[in-house]
Amino acid sequence: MSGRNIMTDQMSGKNPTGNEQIEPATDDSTEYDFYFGPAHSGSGNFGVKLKLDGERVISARADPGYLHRGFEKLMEYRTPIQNAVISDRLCVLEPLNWNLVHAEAVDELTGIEVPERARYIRVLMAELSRLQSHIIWYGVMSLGLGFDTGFRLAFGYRDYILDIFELITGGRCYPAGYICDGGVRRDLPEGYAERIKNVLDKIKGFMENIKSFDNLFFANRTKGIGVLKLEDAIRLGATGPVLRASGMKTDVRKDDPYEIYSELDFDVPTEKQGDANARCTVRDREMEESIKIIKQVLDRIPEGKTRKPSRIKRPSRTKIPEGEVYVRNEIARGEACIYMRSVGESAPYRVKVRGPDFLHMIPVLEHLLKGCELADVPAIYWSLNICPADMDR
Amino acid sequence: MSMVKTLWVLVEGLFSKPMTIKFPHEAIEIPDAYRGEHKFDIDRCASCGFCAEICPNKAIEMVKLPEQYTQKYKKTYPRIDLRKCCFCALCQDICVKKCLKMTKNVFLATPDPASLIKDPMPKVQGEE
Amino acid sequence: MAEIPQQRKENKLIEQISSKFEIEGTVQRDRRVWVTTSKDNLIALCRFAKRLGFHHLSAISVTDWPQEKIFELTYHLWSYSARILLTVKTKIDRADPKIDSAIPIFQENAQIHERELHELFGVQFEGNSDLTPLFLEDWDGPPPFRKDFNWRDYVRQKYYDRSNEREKPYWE
Repeated sequence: MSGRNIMTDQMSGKNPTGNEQIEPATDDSTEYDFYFGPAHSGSGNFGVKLKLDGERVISARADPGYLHRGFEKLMEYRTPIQNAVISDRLCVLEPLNWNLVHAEAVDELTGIEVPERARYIRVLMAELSRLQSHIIWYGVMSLGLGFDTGFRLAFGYRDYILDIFELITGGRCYPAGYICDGGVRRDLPEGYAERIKNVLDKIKGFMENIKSFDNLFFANRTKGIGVLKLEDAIRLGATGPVLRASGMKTDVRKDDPYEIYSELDFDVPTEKQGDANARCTVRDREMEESIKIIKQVLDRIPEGKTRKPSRIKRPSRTKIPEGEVYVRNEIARGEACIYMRSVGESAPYRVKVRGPDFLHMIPVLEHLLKGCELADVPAIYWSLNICPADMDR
Repeated sequence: MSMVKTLWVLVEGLFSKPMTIKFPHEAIEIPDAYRGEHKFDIDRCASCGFCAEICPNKAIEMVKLPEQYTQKYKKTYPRIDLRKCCFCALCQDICVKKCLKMTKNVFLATPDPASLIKDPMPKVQGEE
Repeated sequence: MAEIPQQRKENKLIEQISSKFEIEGTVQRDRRVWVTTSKDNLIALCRFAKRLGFHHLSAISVTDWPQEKIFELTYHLWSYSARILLTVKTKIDRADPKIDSAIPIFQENAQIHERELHELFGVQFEGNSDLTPLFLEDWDGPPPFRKDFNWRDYVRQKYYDRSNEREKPYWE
């Protein structure tokens, strides 16, 4: 079978050249175009062009590019420590996770042994970031389903975690390369453990509250909607919670362990149904696992240095050894990877950023939206927990 | 059953303290490590230019002072353009003499963009 | 102790592939295998790898080498069962950047990666029928991620007006 046949078969209803001629609507025609985004509150800077027949979606076409900033090119002009600052902006909702991916790529190239304490701080911050990202997801999902209380609650509780970020990194949303090559940029301040434990208790209360809302608001809007079968999920390149909700027990933290994840005890929650509700359940349970990991890290965190070398080097003195690496990490949305190629200069020669949403927002979303009802579009859209920032880059 | 639970949570919410605070009258405490507006101590500056070199956004430029100061301060000193600044604090971390510090000042909104360019020596009244 | 069987798995993988194709393979570390092959073998190798369990195409990347006059393509494949990341590298001519599409093997997943790379590097994936631009709208310049693309000059020519007093500094 040639490639052409598969394409036309699976993306039917679309003209591949994009020069679609819109036929003038006749009086009895029920087909029309519908734009979901890009200026919709919560959808992010991203649009989906839907073709509707009455209330039913015939086909969907993702329309990315509203947030393209050319990070891969920007990184070719900057040294690792400057790139660490840029890597925050790869995704607004989980900057610390992206910090970690970038820092690991550079560490693997330079071969620096990261101090033990820094490894623990990195995991601590990455898990707090994951928790925070899942709380945002809950808020935006509630907003999409018209449950405003959940949205406000979630964003209120998220701010407690931002307080921690502010305390440790010095910024609420953007840590400015807190996790950088060789370790982390500064040590933890005094009394951090108590602050974090207090916040975790508050988050637990929040999670109990949202569980009581589940049957009322979530289940009846999400059950049986947007079913992603396991073979489709693998074919379309779904990763992370989306793939786990379809029944695949996989997690980069377990399968391809990085930092200290191989020493920590946590489960990988999976669901079998593959519908929007399963994806919600997986994320709810992942939040519990994250809290479990944070507690373990807080108990075990050793003393010692936080960065090697402790001082930041000038750009003209920095050098990345020649080589190429491909680093995989599990961030809140799925698999995040960086391919970095260096030729021995101060800046990397090529950086390829692979965000999980690149595949979730284009092939998976197009696949799931085909044939669903218009009213289910927000439920499917937000159940994937998508953010255009790391897709457009 | 879940309906009762939900209602209970909602009723509880009616009587609990709000999560927000009334901002101009009270504010949350800003930690010491916060990365706000820069404070520059010209007397300690060694004019090494590391801050200008490491700035990811090229917001720092090394400039000469106006003539009335050149007697005392002969070298070049950092001029910070807060419009370009991303508040990453790399300049603070690399500063050898610890003369560039990030303060807790977050009130930077202004109708006059030109006031966001921080000269190494504050301008004297009546000067161009 | 657990590392030894893992390393063996990677060496075995290289043996398996080299028995069928002409390759240069290295084990970088645990779970990382890098394989270099020729342009003609690429698709067959990917198909073989998929049969071995490499179902997940993590990413495709292009590196531009203007001096050597080549594009280097890397296909990063992950196996959920063997837990190995196999990177297949190949080189294509920079002046005539054509390569067969991986759609018959990885379908939509490959399609979207190829669409991106076609836009940013101008690589022609033969057999991919939908290579419409993803990110850039009304782009008329050369592919922007190529090393020889002077973006400063492009932006100046396209967006800044020399006669405009405010935009003059960009021309100096």
